[in-house]
Amino acid sequence: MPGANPTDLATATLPPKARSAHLLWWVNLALLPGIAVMVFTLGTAYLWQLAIAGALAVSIESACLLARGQSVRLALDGSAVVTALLIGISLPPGVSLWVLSLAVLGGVGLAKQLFGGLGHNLFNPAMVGYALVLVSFPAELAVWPADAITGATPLDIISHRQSQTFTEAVSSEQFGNWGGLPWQWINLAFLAGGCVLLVLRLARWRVVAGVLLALGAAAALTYDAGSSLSNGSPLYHWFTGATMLTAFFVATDPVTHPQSTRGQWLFGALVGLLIFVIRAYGSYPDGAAFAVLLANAAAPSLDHWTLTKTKDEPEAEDKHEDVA
Amino acid sequence: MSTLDFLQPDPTTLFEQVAQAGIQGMGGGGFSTARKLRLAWQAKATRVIANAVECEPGINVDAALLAEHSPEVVQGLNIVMTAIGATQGVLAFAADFPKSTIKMLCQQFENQADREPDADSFAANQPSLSCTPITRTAGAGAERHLCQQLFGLSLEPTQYPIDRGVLCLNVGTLFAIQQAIVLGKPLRQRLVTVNGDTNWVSLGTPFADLLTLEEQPGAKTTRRYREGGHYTGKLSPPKAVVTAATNAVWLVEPATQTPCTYCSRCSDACPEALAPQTLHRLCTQPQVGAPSTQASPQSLSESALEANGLSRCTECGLCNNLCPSNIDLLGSFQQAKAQAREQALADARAHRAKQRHERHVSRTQARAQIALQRRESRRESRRLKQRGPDAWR
Repeated sequence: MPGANPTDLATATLPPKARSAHLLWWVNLALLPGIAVMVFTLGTAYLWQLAIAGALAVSIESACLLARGQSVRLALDGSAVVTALLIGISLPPGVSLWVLSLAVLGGVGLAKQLFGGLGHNLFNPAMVGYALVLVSFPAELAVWPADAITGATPLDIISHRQSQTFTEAVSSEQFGNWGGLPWQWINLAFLAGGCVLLVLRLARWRVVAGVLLALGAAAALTYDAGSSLSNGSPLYHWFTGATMLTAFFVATDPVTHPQSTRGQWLFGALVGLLIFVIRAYGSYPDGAAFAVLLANAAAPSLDHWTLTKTKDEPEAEDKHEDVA
Repeated sequence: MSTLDFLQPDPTTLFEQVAQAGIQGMGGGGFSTARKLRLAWQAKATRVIANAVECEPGINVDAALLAEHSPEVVQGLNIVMTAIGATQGVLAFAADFPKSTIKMLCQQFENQADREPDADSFAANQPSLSCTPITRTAGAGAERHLCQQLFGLSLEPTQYPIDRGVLCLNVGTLFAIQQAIVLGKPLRQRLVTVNGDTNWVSLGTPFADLLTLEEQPGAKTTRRYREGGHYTGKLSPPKAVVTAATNAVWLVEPATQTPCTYCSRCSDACPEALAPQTLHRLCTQPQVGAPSTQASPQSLSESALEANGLSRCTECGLCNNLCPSNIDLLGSFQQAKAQAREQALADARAHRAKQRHERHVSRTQARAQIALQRRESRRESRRLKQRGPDAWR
């Protein structure tokens, strides 16, 4: 700082520092555009669902923290609410209260607190909770609101379109343009919120880029210009289902993705690839939750393999000679 | 303390007196000055840098010292240069010191340069003195950076300035040397920037007593202090006191530590490109299959720490200052390093004991072997005797 008075420099106070709790609440704020669009297009039932999930998550977290003898104030650091919001968003609006409760309990209680709380979970808590109810009660989760579109989500339409070609299915009235009617707008809104995360450096851009590039590349490689067996174009895959939510808000959970930069690329690519494989060839219409959980399991290995190696240390025998 | 002709000091006596006065490097390193001077003398250093480049915001001690005591500092520089036989002395100061201080320094050095050489000193050996302003940037006051900037010497990573004939001393150290040699005063006090005000403080003063005059929030026992500047200053242990290397003390609000969220702010900033969050996890989480068995010389977590580059950490403290969760990352690294050192020492001890035992066993065996042979031969001869002389036939 040439020209500055040294006295000013000496008395300058410490630079303001980020706080973890503030950072986690920013993630909640960044989810808001997407939530707003979901409430607008799919009904106000979502608001109730999110509120109940949030309150449940905070109370479960508080109970666990009490039982573990830790400060209950940690329950309000924003991480439990993020988990609750992600679970609430993933479940269809108007889902039974007990299914919602079970998902939140599985997420916050099982996947997070039983593993040691914030920063110690191996798997994304929200996706554990969602996957738990998805495999246990598939019928409950298949009911999406029937007022705007005829019950089925775009992914369902594409999966069960029988002899229709992809182009026909996509161009039908009820579908919309690229990602399916409400979903393309929801995905756009999550994309906007996700950009806030990238700007605030709350999400690692390498993970996001990895997910989107791998998903796009896989879709582009298998895209056959829209026949009846087509798996869909990259644009369709980017803007349908939970793609943007997964890429920006779920896969980027820093606790459960690798810490090395190359590991983050590989992790993102793995998530993107698995989403495509499950969507195109699996029996579930969307595979984001399973993709993220499988990639979470691979994260420690990815970190281990992509570790920057230090210079070779001398042999143990030599070390002893030195010390002696 | 015996008197010493400080105009023509005998090097060994001077080093002895500097050691007696308890002088340590006062720029922050705290290395023994007597040892440093002796090393420079042995290496025949020809250049001496008086370092007053306070390159970190939050420290103001060199500027304050030069504003009041620049003649003493210059005399200290002269004493050191004469003692080790150096020919070039440079005072490097920050270019943004107050104008009055800079003007005074320039006058001071002109006077020194103009001074008539003594009749009996050779012109070639006449030391030259100069002062140079250095632009204050992060790290500009480090020895290596100064060698580069003043003399164009680029040091190898393993070299110290002394290896290239350069002795770098803080102006506070030079002042302490002058006080010790000329006035016979040992090092008992130093300038410290306390919460932005620079004052003389006795060594050994607890940080808690430094700020008694000011209105302070919080009880005295719960206060925490940071030692050093704003970039690389470190949180002090609760009972820390002022040492020769303390240049600034700041009162900080006690911060509660929350769990690590792996936000990567530390690894983004780390100058050594390490991942402090991963290292911290390895340092603090108990590892499965760790030390109790002693089967392997290195426990699992230690080798993992080594693989993640713990030994490359320079302990600059940047990660601590950035952590949004207020985690004492540096503290855990220092502890892990200390444990690794102890482990290495214990391993070496065990290794030596094992070798000793093996030698002992082989010696005992050899001795037993010899004894056995002797017994055998004695028994043989006895047997031969019993048979009597006829046995030979």
